[in-house]
Amino acid sequence: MIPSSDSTSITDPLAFAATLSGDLAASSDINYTIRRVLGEMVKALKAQAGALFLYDEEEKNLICRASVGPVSIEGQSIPFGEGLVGSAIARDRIISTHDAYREKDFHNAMDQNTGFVTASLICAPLRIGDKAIGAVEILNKVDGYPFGQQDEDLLKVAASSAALAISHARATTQLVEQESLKREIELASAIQRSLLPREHPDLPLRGFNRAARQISGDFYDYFQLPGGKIAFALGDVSGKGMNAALLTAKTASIFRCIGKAMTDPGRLLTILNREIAETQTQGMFVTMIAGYYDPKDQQILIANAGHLPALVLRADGSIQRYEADTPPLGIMPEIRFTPRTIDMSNAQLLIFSDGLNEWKQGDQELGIEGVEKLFIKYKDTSLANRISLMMADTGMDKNQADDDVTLLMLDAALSPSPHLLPSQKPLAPTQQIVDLRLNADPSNLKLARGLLKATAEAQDFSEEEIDDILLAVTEALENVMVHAYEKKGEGEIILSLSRIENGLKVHIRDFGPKVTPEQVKPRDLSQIRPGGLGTHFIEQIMDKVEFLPLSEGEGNLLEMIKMRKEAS
Amino acid sequence: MNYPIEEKEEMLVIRLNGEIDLEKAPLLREALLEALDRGYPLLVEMSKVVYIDSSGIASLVEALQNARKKNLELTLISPSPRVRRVLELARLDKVFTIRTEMGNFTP
Repeated sequence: MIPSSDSTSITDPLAFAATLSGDLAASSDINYTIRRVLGEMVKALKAQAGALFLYDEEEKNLICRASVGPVSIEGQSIPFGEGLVGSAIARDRIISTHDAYREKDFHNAMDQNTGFVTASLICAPLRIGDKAIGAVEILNKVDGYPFGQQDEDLLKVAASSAALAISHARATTQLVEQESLKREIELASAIQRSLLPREHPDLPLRGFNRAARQISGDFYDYFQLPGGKIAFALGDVSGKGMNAALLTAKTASIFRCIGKAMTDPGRLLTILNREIAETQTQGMFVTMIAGYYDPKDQQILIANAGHLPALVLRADGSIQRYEADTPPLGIMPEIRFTPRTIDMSNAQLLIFSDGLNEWKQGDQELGIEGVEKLFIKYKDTSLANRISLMMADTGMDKNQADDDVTLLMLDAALSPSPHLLPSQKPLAPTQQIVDLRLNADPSNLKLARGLLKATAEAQDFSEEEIDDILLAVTEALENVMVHAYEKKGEGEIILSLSRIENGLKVHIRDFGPKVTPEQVKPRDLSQIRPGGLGTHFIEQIMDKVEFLPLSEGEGNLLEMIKMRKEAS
Repeated sequence: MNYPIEEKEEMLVIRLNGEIDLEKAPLLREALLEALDRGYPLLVEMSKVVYIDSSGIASLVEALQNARKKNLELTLISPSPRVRRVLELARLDKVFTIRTEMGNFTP
C-alpha cells in the first residue's frame, strides 16, 4: 500500500500526463506501474484513497489490483457489472458523486469489510481500444468538496495513460516469457543436436534423426572403440516435451559415457536401466537397442529393451526380426539384460523408432512390413544416400511427421576404413601409412610434397609417377585452400596416405563449405587463360578421383587413387 | 626467394628456380608483369625449376597474354623436364615459344 501524499499536487492535465508517462516508461513491471499511477492520481485529485480494478477473464469479475489509502482492498473482487465501478464500465463514462451512499448502484460491502466510509467518489473506466479492461476509482476529496470538472479532466488523462501502460506491461511480460521460453527450447535443441554423433564416413554405419518438434524424444549414437569394435544405440523416450527431452539427453549421454568402457550391451542396458529406474519420474521409460559390432568377424552382440524389432537383411534377401525380450528401461530396476549374437556376414542391420513404421502414406501406416520393403528396395544403394532415398520414397522428406523419426543402419559388407582398425589386424588390402594435418596456408604445400614424395618413393613408384602424384595432390590441396577455405590461409586440412595393392590412396579432408563440382571442374583447354587447370591435371594423372559423400556441414573428402604403371 | 632479372641488348632475362606453387605463383606473376612493363622482349629461363603446378602456369599464361597485348615476345628457355611435362598436360607446349638455348644472349 502506497500512502497518498497531499503535499504538492498538479492541476494541469498535460503536466500530469507528463509526470505519469515518466513513471510509466520507467518500468515494465505491471504491479509496480499500477500502484505508481494510482498513487499519482490520488495525489493529483487531493483525495483520501483510490483503487484500481482490472477485469479477470477467467473469474469474470473485477479484482482490485492496487489500492491507496488508510486501508487496503487489494485482491478483493466485485462481480463484473456491479457497483459504481461496474456502471462506469458499462456506460463507458466517468461517474462522479459527492455522496456515494445516495447512489443506487453503490455497493457498501467493501466499506463494511474495511470500516472505511466512502463519501465523495469519482470513477473512470480503463480501456484499450474498444475493450474495457477495468476501472479506477478515487475516494473522498480531502477538503470535503465534491470532485469537480478539473478532477474529471485529470482522471480522464490518468485513466487513458494507465490503460496504455497496463497494456504495454502485459505485452512486455508476454514477450519476455515467450523469448525466454524460445531461448530455452533453442538451448535444449542445441544440446540434443550435440549429442547426436557426427557422421563417420569411415564407419559402415549411418544414422538419421528428425524431430517432430524442436526437441526430440529419440536419439541414436555410434562410435568406435580403440579395439576396433563399434558401439551403437537407438532409443525412444516415452512421452513428449521437455521432460522427455531431458531423459533423452540423459540416456544418450550415459550411453556415450559407459558405452566406451565395456563391450557387452546386456551389461550396458542393465546399468542404464537401474540408473533411469532409480532417478526418473514415475511413468517415464525408454525403449532402446544397444549393440557392439565387431568388423573383424562381422558379429553383432545386441540387446533390445522393449524397442521395435531390429531388422537384419541377409545377402539372399531374407529378413529376420530381432524382437525385444525385456521390458523398456526405467520400469523395473532389477532386470538383467542378456545380449544375443547376430552373424552379420554380408548382412545389413536397420533399427528405427516408431516415427518410421507409424508414418502414414494417405491413411495407411507404413508398418514394419513397409519398413522391411523399403529396406530391401534400397539395399544396394550407397549407405550415404540410402536414408535420403528412403525418406523421399515415403514422402517424409516433404512432409512434417507427427512423431520423431530416427533410424540407424549398419552395412557389414562395407568394412570400416583401415586406419580406424587396430594395427594388429592381419594384412589388409588397404593400409594406412600416414596422416598429415596442415593449415590451409600455401607455405605448407612444400612440406606436404616432401612427405608425399618420401611415401611414394617407398611405394616403388617411378620418378615420373612420383612427380605426377606430387602435382595432382598439390593441385587438390590448392583447390581446398582456394575454394573450401577461400584463400584465407586458414583452415584444417587432413592429408591421409594409404597403401593399396599396387597403388597409393590419398584422402584429402577439409572442413569448409561444400565444394560444388562447378568450382573445380576441369577447364576447357582450347581456351588459353590462367587458372582452372588444377582439376584437369588431377584427372589426367590419377586413376580414380571422387568426392566421397559427407553430410552437409561436414566439409569435403576427396579420394584419389594412383596405381603403379607396371602393375596396371 | 626472388626471381632475378637481367638486362642485355634490348632484351630481358628472368631466371626462375625452385618450386613454383600457390605460395610462389603470386611473386612470379608480379615479377613477370613488371619485367614486361619495361617494354622489352622477355626470356624466361626455367632450367632450375624443380616443381611447377597450375598456379605457376597461370602466371606464365597471364604474362604471355600481357606480352601479346604489348606486342612483345615472351620465350621460355630450357624448361626442365618437370616444366615440360606440366606444359604438355596443360596442352600449352605448343602455345608458348620454347627454346632450349639462350641464343645470342649470354649472361
